[in-house]
Amino acid sequence: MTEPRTSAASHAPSQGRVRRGPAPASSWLVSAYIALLTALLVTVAVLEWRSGIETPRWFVVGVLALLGALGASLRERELGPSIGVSFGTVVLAAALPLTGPIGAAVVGYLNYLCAWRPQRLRARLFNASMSGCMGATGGIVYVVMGGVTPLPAEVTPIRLLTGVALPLVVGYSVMTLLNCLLIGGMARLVNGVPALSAAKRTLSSLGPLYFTHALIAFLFVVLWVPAGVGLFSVVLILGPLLIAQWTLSRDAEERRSHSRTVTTLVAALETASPYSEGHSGRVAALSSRIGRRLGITGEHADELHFAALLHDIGLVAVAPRLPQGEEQISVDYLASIGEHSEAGVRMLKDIDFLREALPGILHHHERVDGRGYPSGLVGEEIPLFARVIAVADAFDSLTATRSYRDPLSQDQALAELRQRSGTQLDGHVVEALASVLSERPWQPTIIAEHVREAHGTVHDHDDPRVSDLYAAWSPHPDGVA
Amino acid sequence: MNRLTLDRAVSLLAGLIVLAGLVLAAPVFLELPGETRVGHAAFMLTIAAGETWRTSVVGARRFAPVALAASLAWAMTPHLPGPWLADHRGGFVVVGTLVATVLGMWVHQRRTGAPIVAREVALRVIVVGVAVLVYRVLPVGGSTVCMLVEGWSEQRWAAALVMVGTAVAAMTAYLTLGVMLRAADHHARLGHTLTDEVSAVGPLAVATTLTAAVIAIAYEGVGPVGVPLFLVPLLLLQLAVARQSAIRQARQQTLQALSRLTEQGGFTPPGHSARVARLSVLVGRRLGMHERELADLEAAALLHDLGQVSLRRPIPGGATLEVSPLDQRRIAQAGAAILARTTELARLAPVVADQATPARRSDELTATPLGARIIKVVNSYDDLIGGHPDHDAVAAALARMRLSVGDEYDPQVFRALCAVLHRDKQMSSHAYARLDI
Repeated sequence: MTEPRTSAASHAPSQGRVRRGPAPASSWLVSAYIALLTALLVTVAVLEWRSGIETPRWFVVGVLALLGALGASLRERELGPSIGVSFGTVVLAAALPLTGPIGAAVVGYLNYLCAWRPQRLRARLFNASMSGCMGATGGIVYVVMGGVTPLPAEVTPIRLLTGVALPLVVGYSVMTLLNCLLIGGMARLVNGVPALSAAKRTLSSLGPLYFTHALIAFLFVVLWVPAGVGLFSVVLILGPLLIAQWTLSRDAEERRSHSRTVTTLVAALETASPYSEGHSGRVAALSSRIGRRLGITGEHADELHFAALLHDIGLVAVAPRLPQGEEQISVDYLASIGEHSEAGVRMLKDIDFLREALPGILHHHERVDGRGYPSGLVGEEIPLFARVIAVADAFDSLTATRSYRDPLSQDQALAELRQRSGTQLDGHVVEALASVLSERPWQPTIIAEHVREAHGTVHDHDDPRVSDLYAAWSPHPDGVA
Repeated sequence: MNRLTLDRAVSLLAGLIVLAGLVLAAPVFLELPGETRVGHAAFMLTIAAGETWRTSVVGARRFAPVALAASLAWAMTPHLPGPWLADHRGGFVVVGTLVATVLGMWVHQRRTGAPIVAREVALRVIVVGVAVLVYRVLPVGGSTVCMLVEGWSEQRWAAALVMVGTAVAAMTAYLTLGVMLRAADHHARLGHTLTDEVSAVGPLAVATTLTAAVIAIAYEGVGPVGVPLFLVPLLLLQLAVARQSAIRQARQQTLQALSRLTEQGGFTPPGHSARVARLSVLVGRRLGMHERELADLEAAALLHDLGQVSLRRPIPGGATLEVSPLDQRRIAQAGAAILARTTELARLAPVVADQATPARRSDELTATPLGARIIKVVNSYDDLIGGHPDHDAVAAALARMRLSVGDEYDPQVFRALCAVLHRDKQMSSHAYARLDI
């Protein structure tokens, strides 16, 4: 099972309580929603019971509930899409043939109720009742599709396919759909987003590999009953799976720590000058927001983030050669600064995970009119990442204090960027920036007066002014009249 | 043991196993019953496929869990061809595994250019050989394990347990030989290599043995389809491991790129950090450091000059040896301060901070970390030879450093450096003897 990733049950309601004070209507509705789910679960279970379905073997139910609780305790929430391995999901799916609908409902409910991890009571109850409803519904669908439960010891391979595998896949699919819908409902109550679109987003985040859970559940069942291994199949099949889930959770942690390390190191290198402090981090944040608006998602979003973070790393190489303390920008300055993007790429060229990001770093000072550096690319020839970083870069420069001017406000800076759409910048990207800023405004970066006085004149190569000087200095590109 | 002898012994053992298998299995090949052909083809195809899609686990180990599980399962599957005794059929599995493994490696070579390594083929033959020996050949109470287990139709869990035990025995032999070869390759201590190996591939090896037993058990009920089907959990695990080694590789490459930061700025000569890192690891291993400590040492050595970025102008030539002791310490402190800001690299900060501390201070005050003492020695050595390790330069550099041993440089580390250079034929025995250490 997947839990609310939109953090509906686990975070948002509690945030509402802690940070913004109580939001009574919403909080009340959430409780009612959970109560409704629980009532539904109990009703279905009782109806099933009275309809004369065979009572499950409680020993098996107990074992599966224990295993499921173990899986729920180990759940790693922040895995990337399409790779999640969920031990608990496999156990719940295996409960359909092994214990029938009532047993599956009990297994599902207990899994999340007894999960060993810090969790608010309401989130726990929501997860438990949702998982219980999934088990009950999946179990019923399984039986309706002609699934055999409990499984006899002697089964022909054909019967295994039509009487177990097929119903199991259908039951599992319905279970997954219900999972997404219920999460969508919670998202609707808590964040006010439309339930169906939230459900769709959850479903698409699961990825195709999610179906391997049904397959592994089937293998587990086959080994348990027809192959006659019984309880020991827990070790045999679920052992490797548990190791896989554990490996993945460590992987997710390493991924986060790697990203943190790069961020901090880049920030540490910037402390040399007060004018560059925090610049890369801000450009990365802005670029990510623009990228999301332009539909850059998944791994590409990560690549854009890293590219933006490291876009000025080449400055370390050219900084010693930059003329210092000049009032006016000299040709020397332009010639030296023009090399920093290539120097950055030289440093990063052997890093495999940045391979796709390198063009974004190399061309982040190109101009759409073809008079930028290093290659003089025109318009769409410039990689999208580079066009995004260029806009974020110029915007951050304009909204920060420079030694020769005060910071511009968000609107002034946007107006300045709009003027440059079509010459320096890609108008499409500028509008994407305007649109994300209208949702959450940008705070200018202000540097104290005494710091400014202490450091004298320091030029900023990201200032659009410098880009214009470079354009005027560079020869007219061929083919552009 | 010497690496060459060990390699020869492994090859010889594998050769003997294959020979025995060929002799014993010859009659089986002549009369392969039609109904078993599909099953054997399934095993061989799975082994070959698993071999082409092998993962590289942390630290350049190559491990093919799918192929290993399939070949172990094959050795324990009850339905093998021929009316002969069990041992004859075991030979069939050994020969089949050899053929499938070489085929898979060949395809892998065509696809990625990674060469076929004779040692890996030999290890694969040995692992299957051990499984066959335990399960089908060694007599247990007048019969074999295989015969006994087939009788337990009511206690399949016990049969599965015995199979897991067999697979564990084979896997232990495999890992032990692997560890011995690895220790010999890297001139590392056996005990350290063993613990490092277990922590690196342990979980994967456990999952592999469990899966092998599952396939062998399920084969009776499900038939050949079960071979690839029951490998799915292991495949998921392999995917997870591949992801993990990708992120570790990314981390490694990031460190290397950061180490080039100072080179690009002209602060240090090209390749200096990489050379210091490589040699520091050799010296650290010689001094008995664990792989985990070595990884930290390597990272610290790669980043030891990071503090130079905070200098306004590069030092001519970039060698820290030529800088005043005060500046050396400032550079070290600046580098350590940068690292201390990160959560992941903060533990390297003390090593980087103490890289300029002379050995005599180490005794007076608190002890400087071993890593810092190693980097201090290796860094000075590299500054002196400047990337031209011809015999004269090496001897001259060491002779010059010899004068400051005990005062500037840690004697133990200096001895280890000389021993490593002598071992790797970078200095003559004559020069080594003249150092008199």
